[in-house]
Amino acid sequence: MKRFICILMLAALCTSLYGCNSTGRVHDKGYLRAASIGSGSLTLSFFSEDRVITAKGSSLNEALANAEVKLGKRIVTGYTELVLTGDEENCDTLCCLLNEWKVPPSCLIVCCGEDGGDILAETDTETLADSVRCARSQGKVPESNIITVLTEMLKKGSADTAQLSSDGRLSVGRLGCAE
Amino acid sequence: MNKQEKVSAGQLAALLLITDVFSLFCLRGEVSLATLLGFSAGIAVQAALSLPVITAAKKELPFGKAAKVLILIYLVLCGGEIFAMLWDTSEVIYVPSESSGGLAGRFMIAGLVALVCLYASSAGLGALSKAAVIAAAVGALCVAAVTVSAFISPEWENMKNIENHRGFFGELLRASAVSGGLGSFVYLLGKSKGSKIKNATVYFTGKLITTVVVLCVTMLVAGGIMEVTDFPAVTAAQLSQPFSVQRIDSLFLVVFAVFAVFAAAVQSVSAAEILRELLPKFKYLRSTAVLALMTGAAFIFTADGRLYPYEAAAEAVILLAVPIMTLCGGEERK
Repeated sequence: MKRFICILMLAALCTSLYGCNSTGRVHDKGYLRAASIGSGSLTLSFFSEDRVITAKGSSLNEALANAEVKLGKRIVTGYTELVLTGDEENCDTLCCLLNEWKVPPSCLIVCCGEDGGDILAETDTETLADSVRCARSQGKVPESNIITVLTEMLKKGSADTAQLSSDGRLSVGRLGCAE
Repeated sequence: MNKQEKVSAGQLAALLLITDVFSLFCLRGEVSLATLLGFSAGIAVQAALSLPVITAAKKELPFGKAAKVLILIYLVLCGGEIFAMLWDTSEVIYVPSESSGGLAGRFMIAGLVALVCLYASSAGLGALSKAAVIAAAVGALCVAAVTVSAFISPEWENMKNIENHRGFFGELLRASAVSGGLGSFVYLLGKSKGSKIKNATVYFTGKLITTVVVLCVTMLVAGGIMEVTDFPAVTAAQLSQPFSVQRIDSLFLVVFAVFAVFAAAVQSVSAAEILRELLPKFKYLRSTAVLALMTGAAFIFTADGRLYPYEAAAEAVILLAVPIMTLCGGEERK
């Protein structure tokens, strides 16, 4: 009996081990670095891709699925560093980012009106994220990670966060929680 | 299991605490100060109710047939609850593999856990208790990493701002309901080496400390977003970043899977052993039969906590009725 279970376990391990699984190749995935969420559209920037992808959808997940089709790869959202949001964003969007996209707790939430997609397409993502961190360390913008912002929104109905204008200027912005 | 095979105090505590911590990982709904108080009081009540069990174990009285049947039923139900908790929680466990998504992924996780559990159960209590110490040490490492991460920049306000809908007594009830290690405690205490009082004290003290640590860390890390979190302990582990570029998801994933295996295996090993004592002619596939019964029992449990009062009542029965039956008829059997 023990030998039979051992063989069964080995077979299960052999077929499910990540390195042996052809679907587990790193270059078969798009690792999301930054996203801009506008009304009905989603612009995505990746660690390994030079281009940005814009997709539309009635929900965040539908837009993400459409972006996967455009990119031709599955998108991994667990390492997202920065999310640019429009003014209309609410708790549901951030909850979706946290619970379904599984973004890291250090992911920065920056509001920027409807220009997020253009900003993401024109500016280096690393520079954007570094600018927000630098402004935070200088005290020019509040703590803008997703946990701080979502906690504040749930407690008070709105939260202060970093705001990015189309000319690249950082200031204090406010995100509301639509009821 | 060999009749002479006994577990040490540390092994017993490791076996039982793994089950309790796994239940804490799978906690659904808000965790607040009322939860902390309810669970702490619950452990104190469990320790008080365990005095007859300790007395019976100290006298080394053998269980009667009726007591064995009661423990067997309770263990099968506890195992079923562990499978149900695993099934519910695997929905939010983040396995970074394409094949992990959706129902198929959850079946894969549950199936692999059941398979490894079957292997661990068939190895017997001796091997399981030795391995449990190593698993508990890895788990302690994970909890320590999350705790350090939580205390680097603690958000104390999170702890007092969490709303609680259950209240103190509701939490007391929940603490009793999710305490899956007690059935095994009743059975295994008599099979432990040395002083039974000391062994029970080590277990309940360890349980209180780990419960307080896990609940406090959960509140500190996930307190602010408690109302949008289904599984706060899992969220706390997923959100912990001990280092700025390193998440602890992968270590938690390993610990969660290992604890799931051990939690179910402890119930199935104890149940299979009782089955052997009750039905000596039933020699083969005892572990498989017990695991099949547990899988069936898993369908009884729902995630909304409707069964908590019944589970708490069953726990009180097992802690009081079994030792009383044993103390009354044990001397003759001995």
